[in-house]
Amino acid sequence: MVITLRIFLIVCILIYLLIILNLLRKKNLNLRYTLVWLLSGVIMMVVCIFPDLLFEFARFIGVVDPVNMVFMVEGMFILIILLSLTTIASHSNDKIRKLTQTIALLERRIRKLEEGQQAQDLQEEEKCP
Amino acid sequence: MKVLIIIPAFNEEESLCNVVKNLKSAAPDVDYLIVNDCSTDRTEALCQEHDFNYITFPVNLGIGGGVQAGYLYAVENGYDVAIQMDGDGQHDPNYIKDVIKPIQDGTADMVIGSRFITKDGFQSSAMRRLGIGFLKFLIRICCGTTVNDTTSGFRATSRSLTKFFAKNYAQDYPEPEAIIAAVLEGYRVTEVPVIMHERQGGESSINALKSIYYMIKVSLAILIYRLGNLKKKG
Repeated sequence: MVITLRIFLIVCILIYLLIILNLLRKKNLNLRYTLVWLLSGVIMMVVCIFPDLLFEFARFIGVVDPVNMVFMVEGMFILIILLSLTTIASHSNDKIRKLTQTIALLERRIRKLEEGQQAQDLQEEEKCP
Repeated sequence: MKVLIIIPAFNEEESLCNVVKNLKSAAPDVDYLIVNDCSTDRTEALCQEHDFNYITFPVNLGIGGGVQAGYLYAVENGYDVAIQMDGDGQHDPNYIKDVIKPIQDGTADMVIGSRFITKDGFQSSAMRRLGIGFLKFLIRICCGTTVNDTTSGFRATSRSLTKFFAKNYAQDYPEPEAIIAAVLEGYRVTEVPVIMHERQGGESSINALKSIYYMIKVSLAILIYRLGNLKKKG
């Protein structure tokens, strides 16, 4: 890999990691859901500093141009991150459903209680005007 | 036997009053619960005006989430049988005693009201029957149980199955998936003949375009459920 490309990629990854850390610091990101982002950044960084690791592997599986391997790894990370996002969305969906059902059942109980209370109040008013 | 009728309702202002009126005259000794799934029409206002027993969702959850809330209510209030009955007038409350009977006798945990046993009354379109037939085939090869009216929303569940569904229930298009879930969990599923009517008002939740999506989604759900429970009988 050309040295200029390596420097360019390392700078990009550094900026990327800084953005994530800054978002974490400002609590715009939940660390639980950010680990996969950080991990991808760190691995990319390792690959840029020691490119021979990746290129050996590229040659082994038959990728002709080693730089393509970098893009392929990037693409894989994006897929994994998207999948983890879908998992998170599914979990949130389950929680929202459960909350909605609970709210609806509680709302009915409150309504019934209030109706009973109103009836009681009316009775008491009639007794002692 | 404490019996609860769960009536999921999404934009059913045209038919809901009739459904409840027919229900009260046909089966005066059962309780009912209307689940208003965040309707955009006057469904909730009607429930208030007529003092129906109802719960209402602040956001739309779809039929599965609605029916499941009914199951939760049934568990909370200790009902022996929970019956799902659509809010559009397709299901005749005169058959309630028929769908309860196998549970009362202790011979089944889930009883599905089927329009295809005696083949009387509203039979749905040929395309739909084809889809329902395919799901019947799929459920039979996946768990060995034959259910003719796989998409029927007129069904009764015993206390233990209601408890299970209160915890696990598919969110959209849940009817066929609920059958395979019940069978694989070891519950006994049976069918009784009923006569269904054409819907009195509102629109079906499944239109022509959505039906392909429906078939793919439901078939996949059944297969995945089977794969997730490989060790269970079937």
